[in-house]
Amino acid sequence: MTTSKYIVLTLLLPFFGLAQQELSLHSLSNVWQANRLNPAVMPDNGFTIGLPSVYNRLAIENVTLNDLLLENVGGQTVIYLEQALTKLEGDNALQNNFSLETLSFDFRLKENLHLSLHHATRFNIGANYPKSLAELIWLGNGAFVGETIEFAPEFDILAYHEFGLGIATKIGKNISLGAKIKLLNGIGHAGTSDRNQLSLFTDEDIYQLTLDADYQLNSSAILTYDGFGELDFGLPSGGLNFLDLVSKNVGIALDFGGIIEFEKISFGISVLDIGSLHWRTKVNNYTLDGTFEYDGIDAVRDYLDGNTTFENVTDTLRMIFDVQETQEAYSTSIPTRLYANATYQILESTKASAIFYGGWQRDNFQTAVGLNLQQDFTSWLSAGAAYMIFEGANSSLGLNANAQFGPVQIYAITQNIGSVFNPRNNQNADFRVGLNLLFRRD
Amino acid sequence: MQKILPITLFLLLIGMACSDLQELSDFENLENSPQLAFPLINSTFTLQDALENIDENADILVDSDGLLRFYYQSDTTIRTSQEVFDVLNRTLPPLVPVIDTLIGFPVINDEGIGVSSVIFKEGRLEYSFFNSNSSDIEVTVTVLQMFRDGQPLQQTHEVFSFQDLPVATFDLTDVELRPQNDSLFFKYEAYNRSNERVTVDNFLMLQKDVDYSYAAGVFTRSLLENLPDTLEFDFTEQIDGDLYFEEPKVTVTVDNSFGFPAELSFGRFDIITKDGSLLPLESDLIDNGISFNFPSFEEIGEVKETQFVFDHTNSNLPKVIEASPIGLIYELDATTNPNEDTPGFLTDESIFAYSVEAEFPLLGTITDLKVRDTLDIDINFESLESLEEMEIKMVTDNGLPLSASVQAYFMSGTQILDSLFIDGARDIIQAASIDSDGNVTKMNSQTTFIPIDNPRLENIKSANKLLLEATFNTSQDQEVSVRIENQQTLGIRMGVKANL
Repeated sequence: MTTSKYIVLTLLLPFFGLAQQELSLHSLSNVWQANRLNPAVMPDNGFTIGLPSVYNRLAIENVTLNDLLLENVGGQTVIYLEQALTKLEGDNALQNNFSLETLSFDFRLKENLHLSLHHATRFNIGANYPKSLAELIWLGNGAFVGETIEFAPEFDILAYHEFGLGIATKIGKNISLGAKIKLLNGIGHAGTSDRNQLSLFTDEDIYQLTLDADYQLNSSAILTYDGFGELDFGLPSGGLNFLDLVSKNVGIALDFGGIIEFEKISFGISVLDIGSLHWRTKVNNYTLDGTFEYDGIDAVRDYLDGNTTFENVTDTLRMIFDVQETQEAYSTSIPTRLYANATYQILESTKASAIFYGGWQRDNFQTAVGLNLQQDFTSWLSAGAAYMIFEGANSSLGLNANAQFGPVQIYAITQNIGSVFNPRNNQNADFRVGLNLLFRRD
Repeated sequence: MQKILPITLFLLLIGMACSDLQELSDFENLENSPQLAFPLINSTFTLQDALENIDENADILVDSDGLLRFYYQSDTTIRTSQEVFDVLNRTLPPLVPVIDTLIGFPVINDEGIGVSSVIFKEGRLEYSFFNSNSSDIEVTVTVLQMFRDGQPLQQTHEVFSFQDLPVATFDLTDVELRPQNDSLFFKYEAYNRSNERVTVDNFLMLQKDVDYSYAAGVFTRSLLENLPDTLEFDFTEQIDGDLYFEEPKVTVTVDNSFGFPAELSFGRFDIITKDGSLLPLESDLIDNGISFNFPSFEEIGEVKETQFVFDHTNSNLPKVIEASPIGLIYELDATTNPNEDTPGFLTDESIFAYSVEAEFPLLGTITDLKVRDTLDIDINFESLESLEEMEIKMVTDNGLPLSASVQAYFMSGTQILDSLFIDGARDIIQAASIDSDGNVTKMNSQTTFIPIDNPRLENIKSANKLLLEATFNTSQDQEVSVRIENQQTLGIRMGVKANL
């Protein structure tokens, strides 16, 4: 697989993610998974089992999938960046969050005291890439002769297991508090550091190349570089070896949350994923630092000395673009999230809520706001709609529904209904589906 | 209805989400055609660099003013004094019967060498006799013309009556022989106990293991003949075309430490051309012979050098060199003491040695000089599978007063697959500008674009050889002899724009 295709696929693959921006789940207070966004949320049931649930969110800035894909004359859907280039801005972001919660439990130890356990596997991808990078891949440096082009991408690929132990309690009549400690086991990581500069100049003379670089990548188990043009990119399977839980790639994250309830209105606030992962296995640190020039090989000298010349070009490039490799353990922060919400009970079976999200993506603080309207149609069926505005993307209309049949609860949420019917033409798409078993309801 | 709608919506959400995922994983390969631009070749070199390996027999020298020249030097032919000393051995009598108390022998031979002084490096005279007298005797033997430290060789022996003298020896190391009237005299004086002069019998003296370190005298005229030899010029083998050197030079260098006059004569001095013709080098020096220097008696042990230069002022050398020479055949003989009247000397280390040098300063003109070479191509075309077409940009910066027209052929074995330039050889190197004296005044640059489309690329991909043909001409249509100097450079730069 070519390097350029790797880069594009990295930007497109939907099964990886960044900081989750969920603005609807808070409204589904009867869905146990709302506890993931505020650990102070306690289900009404005495015992809850969360069966596998899946969440995925893909957000692409400035372009849609339609701008990136094309159906060729053979009927195949192919990646085709030409039309996307006109829509890209100087800097463009892309992120995808995927979470598979395999199993979770909540126990009411006593009135207003709950204990919870869960396991989830999370894959996050975030990238910030300049338009010039896409142009360089698509058009080649031949389109920029005589120009200096800055093309360094920033990205983070993060995959880890999460084992959570939470506690929630009510203090007094109105205040609920919750906290969660999560043991993290890293599956793999690849990401750029704050050394993030790459520029390429192609001279008009005979296209001599000058690369100015101060660029560093760290990777654990995802990326290996074996020389010029030999980049190996592989996502680990995510299999869990319990023996490695505390010996390799370990981290801790904390969640805190609180809710204050009044007769018709309640307020909630939470801070999630305060923590980091320490990467120690299959670590590679790649640094390209300096100015590298390639102006051709001295083929005439080789000819005069009786050597064949052309096969030496790759060897020469390999020597010039000297990537330094080390294997030093490093740490990454988990993207911390902040939620604040207010809910108003309009009618007995109708409530409206407003929610604010803030999350750190590398050095950027991203925000989103949402307005939800939730309706209980029956005792076993509830549905809602939401309007959301995400920073750097178009606003969207979301829908959710959850139904309970006996102890079985099923739910589904999307924050952009447009992406359900027309995924290619939307800048963001997400969904969450899952099953719970509810016992001993109050 | 109230219940159906949300249920339907709910199921729809789940279904569409799954199809969303499926759709995103169905896309195929990247379809793009980027253009990569990169440099390929960047070389700067002098003509000295290019000519270094063109002829293994030649050196490329640089004059003090930077002018380059081809330089050839032959092996040195050496004749030593051993030949003369071998003759001397035949001058001295090997066995001397001393039949009288004073007896002389001539020190000259049929070959006419008459020595006036000889110093022995090693050797001995052995002698013995019989005392036929009835009394014991005392005998003093003297070699009158052999001196050690200025004194004649002399030894005294006592011999019993009717006894042989056991073999006695005169050590001749560092002994000087100075013949008297070309003769060597032996004398003995024998006395008995009564101090009466007596004679002895069977007195024989012979020389053994004699070698010389010095000889002086009048040596006859003799001819030292040498075998013919060839100085080869290989560079012309690889080229075709007219090469004119304005100031070629052939130098004969003679080193002589024999202390007598000699003359050099030319048995042969011919240029061999590429087509096998022999063109004689003509000059008064060749016709009349050449006398070379020799050390005097005050310069014993010194080597005297004599050089004879054949150039455009005293020979037809420029003309014969024009005919694509591949070598110079020479046969040089020396005649010693041509007038037979000059005393001289030689030592055991005396030599007569000569060598021939040819120089071709790169001052002249080149007309349609064709050079061909075949290179093996070892390009891994698998890695260039996605290459659709390309354009080569070639830039030359030329400080040499030489232009070049080039064509290249991509070949598989002996089959020509394609050529670099579709419309024949192209002028890709413009000669530097020169003044009326042939000095370069300005570098000239030239840029050439060479498009190679997809069908031609397909041809080239199966090539394993590249045949290069270049034709060179000097500046100003060869009307002025140009100077090719060491500091003149030719820069060739090549870049590629490749569409994948």
